[in-house]
Amino acid sequence: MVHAEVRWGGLVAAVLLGSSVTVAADDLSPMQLLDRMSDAVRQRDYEGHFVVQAGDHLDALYLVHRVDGGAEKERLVSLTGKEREVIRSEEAVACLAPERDQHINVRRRAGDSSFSPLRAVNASQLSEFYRMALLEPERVAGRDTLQVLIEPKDDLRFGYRLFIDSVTSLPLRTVMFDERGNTLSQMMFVELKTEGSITPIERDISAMQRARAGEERAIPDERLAQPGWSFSSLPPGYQLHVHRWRGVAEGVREHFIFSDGLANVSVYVQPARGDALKGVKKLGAARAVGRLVANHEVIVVGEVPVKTLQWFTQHIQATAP
Amino acid sequence: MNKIDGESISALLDGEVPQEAHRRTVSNLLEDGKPALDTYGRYRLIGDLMRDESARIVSVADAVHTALRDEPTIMAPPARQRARWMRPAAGLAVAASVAAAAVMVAPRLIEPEPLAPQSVAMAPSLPVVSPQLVAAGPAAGDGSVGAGAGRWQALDPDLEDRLNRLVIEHHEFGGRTGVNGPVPHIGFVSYGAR
Repeated sequence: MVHAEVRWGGLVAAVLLGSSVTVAADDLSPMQLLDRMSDAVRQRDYEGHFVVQAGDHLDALYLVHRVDGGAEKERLVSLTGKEREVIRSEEAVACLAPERDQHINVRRRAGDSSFSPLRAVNASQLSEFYRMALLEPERVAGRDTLQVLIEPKDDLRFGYRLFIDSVTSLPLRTVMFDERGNTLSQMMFVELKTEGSITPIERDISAMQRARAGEERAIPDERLAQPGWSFSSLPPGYQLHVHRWRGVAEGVREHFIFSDGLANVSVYVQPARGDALKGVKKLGAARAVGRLVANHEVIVVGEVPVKTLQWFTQHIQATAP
Repeated sequence: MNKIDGESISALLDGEVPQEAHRRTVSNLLEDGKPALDTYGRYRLIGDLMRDESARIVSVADAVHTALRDEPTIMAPPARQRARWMRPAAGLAVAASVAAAAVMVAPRLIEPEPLAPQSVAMAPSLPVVSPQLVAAGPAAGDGSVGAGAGRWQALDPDLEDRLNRLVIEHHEFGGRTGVNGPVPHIGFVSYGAR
């Protein structure tokens, strides 16, 4: 009997806890929901299947994300079309494309991607460029979600419709749309597990990635002193978040990442080579623009309007020696 | 309920299972079926990669899995017979599981660009480019991407690989908010696979 009372008490506590979380989530502003979501995607364990749509293509993917001892690990696997897989750990990310005999391995430092660009902006800065509102709650993957609409106020960024799990704050469905409201891409979970036994991710993955890292190229110290390139003008709202160097066959590639808090743009600059990218290319919602500047190839990529990418290619200049 | 876990599979591959438990461990592996065999294959492949022993592996997963499924003596052979059976059966399991993993992992892994040291700095330490430079400049160019503008697939394969890497680094080092989904690289696995 005592045992039954304890279990009943636990059940009551669980119900109260769950309802309090739900009520709290209901009371949050769109900005607070965004903050919670950006924490949840990095800090929670989750596993499930989701579909991705871009244009008239629909794909199914499997995902598992775990945080073991504070370190994030992920596996992302295609279930339709050609077989592809991405494995991420704190030290590296391996992108496997068997059909192309290709293995892209990127080494990084712990924490390089475990941050949210949202932390660099506040609600009032974000509201200069986006209009945010809460829409009617909906169910996704059998779970209750809060729906957040984020509309751009100009044509330099895309809009989003987010369906955020009212309990875990994970995004269960995300929709990206252009300035005319046309859907560019979307993803939606059809099944999600956030508690209980989440499938382990092999312990040797990061070691495998390190083993395949290859020789490192030296970068002259003087190039590390300051960026070799600057921008005479930036699109409104975009700020520099990251600047890094990387040794490549042609010399040194500089990488700038700008963000308005939600949309990111990368600018790569490296000595020009024969197959330089020229013009505009796209893949799903991602766009890329290439241009030659002072014998250097400038490639700008991001899930933003082409106009925004071209702003960067047209305002980049070599820093005076 | 699974009869074998990841630790046991790893121990089996590392030759750390005691002789007296070896037969039972292999039997458990076979009885747990495809998930356990897939795990075995993945661990084995990782080990090969770490020893740089990766080689082109012919995808015979279906045939081998069918052979395993249709061979009832695997599940409950007489003890003596199993002692002889076990090695080829285990070899078959390895072939099946490695082949299954090979479907997921590149048979010949290549590094388009060797990794290099990276110097990462955050915005506050870089006054050269700062928010103060922001100005309402003219909108540049045409924002539309017509059907003839070309997709990644229309690029030269080398350039496409290079662009794939840039997009991966873009997602990897830009942080994440969740507005494009919970994890990065969804585009590489979905759109890029067509």
